[in-house]
Amino acid sequence: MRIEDRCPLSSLSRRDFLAGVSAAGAGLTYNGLLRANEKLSDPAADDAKALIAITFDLEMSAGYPVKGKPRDTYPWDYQKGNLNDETKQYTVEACRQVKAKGGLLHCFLVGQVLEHRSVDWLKEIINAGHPIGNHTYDHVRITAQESEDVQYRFRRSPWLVAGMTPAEAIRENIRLCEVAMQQRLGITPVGFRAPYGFRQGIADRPDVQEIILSLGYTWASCKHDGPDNVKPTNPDEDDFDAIVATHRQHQPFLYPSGLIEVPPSPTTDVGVFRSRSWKLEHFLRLIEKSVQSAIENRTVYDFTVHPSIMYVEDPEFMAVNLICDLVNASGSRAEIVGLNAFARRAKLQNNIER
Amino acid sequence: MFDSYERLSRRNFLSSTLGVGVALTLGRSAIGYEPRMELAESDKALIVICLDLEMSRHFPERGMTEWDYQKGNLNDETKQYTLEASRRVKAKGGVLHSFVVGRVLEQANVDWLKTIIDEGHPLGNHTYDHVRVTAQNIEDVQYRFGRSPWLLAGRTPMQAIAENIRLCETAMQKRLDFRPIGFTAPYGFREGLIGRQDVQEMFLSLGFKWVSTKYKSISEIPRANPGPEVFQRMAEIQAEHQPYFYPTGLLEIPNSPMSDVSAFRSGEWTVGEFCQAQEAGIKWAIEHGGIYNWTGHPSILYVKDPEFRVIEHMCDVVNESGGKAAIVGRDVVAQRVFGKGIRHEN
Repeated sequence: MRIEDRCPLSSLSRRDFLAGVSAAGAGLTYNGLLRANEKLSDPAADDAKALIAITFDLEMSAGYPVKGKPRDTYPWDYQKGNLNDETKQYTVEACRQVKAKGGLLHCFLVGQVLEHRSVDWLKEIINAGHPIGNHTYDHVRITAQESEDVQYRFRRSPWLVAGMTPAEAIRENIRLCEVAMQQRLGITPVGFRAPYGFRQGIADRPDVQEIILSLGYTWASCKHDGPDNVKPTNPDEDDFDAIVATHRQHQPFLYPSGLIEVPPSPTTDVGVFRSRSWKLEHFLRLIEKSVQSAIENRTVYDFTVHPSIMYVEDPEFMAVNLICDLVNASGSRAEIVGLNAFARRAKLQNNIER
Repeated sequence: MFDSYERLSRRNFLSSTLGVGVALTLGRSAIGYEPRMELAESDKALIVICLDLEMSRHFPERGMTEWDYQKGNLNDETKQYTLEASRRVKAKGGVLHSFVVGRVLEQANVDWLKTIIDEGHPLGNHTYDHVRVTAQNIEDVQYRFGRSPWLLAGRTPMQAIAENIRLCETAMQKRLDFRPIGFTAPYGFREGLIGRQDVQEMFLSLGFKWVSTKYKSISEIPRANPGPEVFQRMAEIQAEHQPYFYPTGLLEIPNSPMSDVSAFRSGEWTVGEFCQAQEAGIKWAIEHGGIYNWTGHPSILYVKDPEFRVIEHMCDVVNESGGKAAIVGRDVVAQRVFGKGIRHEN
């Protein structure tokens, strides 16, 4: 069973609390009271509330920290978990700043990080109440059907997965990350996020869905399908709107297998700063419109970035602070949550569980 | 499986009746390195110059201990030193037998190793992660696994060790197209594998007929300023480092004192003093028609001996012996012992 990132009482808004007290005082039926209490304790159950997640993928990113060099300048494709100090420090500080504004930051960890000398920085994040999920051990492509496509590392060093089918190597890589988190950090991962992201998620891969389910995960974050026709530089409002429009297709949903898809919302820092050449101000405008759209439509928005990129592009933490400020300014219309809350909302909306 | 002394030299191969199809399966080991097996039958002292290709704690700066966890993450200086040392030994008529930690083969570029192989030097197995082959607890197998035990989950220490040795061989075959020539154990043990029949049998089951696991230095090595009596003792201890068989039939080819670790990490010897120690050992071997099997570490030597004085001096001592010694790979030593049936150790 997964650990549920139950919303702490401290996150209850004053309005919800008062609403719950008054409902109880009004003598509601048992079911009605239950529903009210559920809203009090779980923002996922409050359909009037937008759910906002701030998520970091803890991995190194090709092309960073110094942009413009050939891709093989850095070894990151082969050493995704070999985080540099700046990436770690950025993550810790971002978590601190988000928490100071009442939120939490959901990280997804490449397990190879746990071979590093010190993981105290991760323990600090965990102790501060931030959830950490599984991002595979070596940043593997979970849809790979050929061994050489599983990960750059295994293409160069195929003996590391010798005797395994691609599916076996992928399964083992997900499992190994979880075991490493349990052994080095003492935690069970909160959810699973697939490296790379796929336009259709894993809708056409029931075999991959079954792998993830068989490992005990009830939800996965795999789908990412941003628009192609936005400007590579100097985007305008139409570009931002085109991206925000895709968020409708990035609400949590169920695969036929029962696995819940919790898509990252387009577009990530990779799309903004590496695939395109936007400036931070453009990204901030996109974030602003994304959060506002989620609040207005009472939907979810999963802000996904990589600290290995963000410490270069946004060293002042403007993006995460902007999200926190927008949510806090919304009153009780939005809340910053972990992605477990996204999955719970999908379950509730699909009457899978109450 | 295989072993180097059984392997065909190119000359033997060409004179054999084996077909082309077999030749294609032999890989790079049958192309570059030509063991001088005729020396196994001679009365010459056999001198082996070996380098263990791994990073070493406290080098290049004291306090650097992360290498314990990343033994195969060789820096450029270590690679360059190995390449140049190999060339210098070859220029003086010998070969340099390196033993590689398999994890090196995960690095971006292994052309330097291919060059060494193509230039005719043998390359052996030093395990994948520099594991302690005598470990009886998982946490003792290697620092890396003490920190990250999930990498060995479900394995006994012996299974983990055997897998680590096998993985190094597989990696060498896949990335270098070269089958390892021999095995040298990380760390080295005062009594070798005496009393560890299980480990001896593991090696035999992996196809090795000879290994190098024993290293026993002289007692009370002075930290600095060694005098003539030290070099005398250094010569005398070579008698204890001649090849022998374990009861299982596994052949031990001990590492000869004195290593660079003893001189430059445990001690503070000068390069000149270290050269004297090597000379004492080689001369003992020449006098007795024996074996001198020296092992150094390029990750130490590029710091302490950037001018290759130690290796050059060993070559010079051999070349000045009047034909009484030759520099060979360890497989030639093994061939000599197997040919003569040397003493068994109980």
